[in-house]
Amino acid sequence: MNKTNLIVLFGGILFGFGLAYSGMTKQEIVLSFLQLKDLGLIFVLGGAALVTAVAINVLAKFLKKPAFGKQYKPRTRILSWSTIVGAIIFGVGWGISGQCPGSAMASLGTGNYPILIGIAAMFIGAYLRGLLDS
Amino acid sequence: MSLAIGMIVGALLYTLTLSPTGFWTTTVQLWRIALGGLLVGFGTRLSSGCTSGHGISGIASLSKTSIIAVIVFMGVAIITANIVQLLGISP
Repeated sequence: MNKTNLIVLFGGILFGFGLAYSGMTKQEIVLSFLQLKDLGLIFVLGGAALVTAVAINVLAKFLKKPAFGKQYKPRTRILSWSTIVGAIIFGVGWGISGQCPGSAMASLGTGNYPILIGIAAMFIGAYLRGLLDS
Repeated sequence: MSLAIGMIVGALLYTLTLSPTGFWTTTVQLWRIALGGLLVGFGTRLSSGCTSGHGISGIASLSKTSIIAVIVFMGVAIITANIVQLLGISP
């Protein structure tokens, strides 16, 4: 395993630990947020975005290049109908099941084996999206 | 791949250490997990991001596209979850 994979693995461990700690690996908790009964999720998402924003906008200014890469490259996402329609479809799926890709992966680590069905379904869904282009 | 493995290991570490309840399985009905997963997979790829990609990284980098995507998917998910609840489907 090379250095980049190792640091990504470490980042994944932190991310998974945090998602489990904050309860986001429990579909019931996510659904209770979406039913506006428990606002915890907004603090987890907002807190994570805030920390990431400091890393991207402040820490990156002090480092000439990334610790494990050659240069900084912005990931530009162009707003299109795909973004909007995709977000609508994602929202319906999220509202039905209370799971999203990251939380589903981490949920496996908490022993939630039924989520394997959800992960398999996500792969099928992503594959079907790919078929539309070909 | 190492990200996915890391996330599973990280959540496992939490479950084995700080978790007050230990291993856990969802009570949400499997058809909801399956149907929701299918739509989440399709939607994530079509919109080039999910709660992590648009929600955390996108908002953090102040991407206009991501901010719009988050507003749309969160609004739609809140409406959907409440409709599901109104239909008497629980858990």
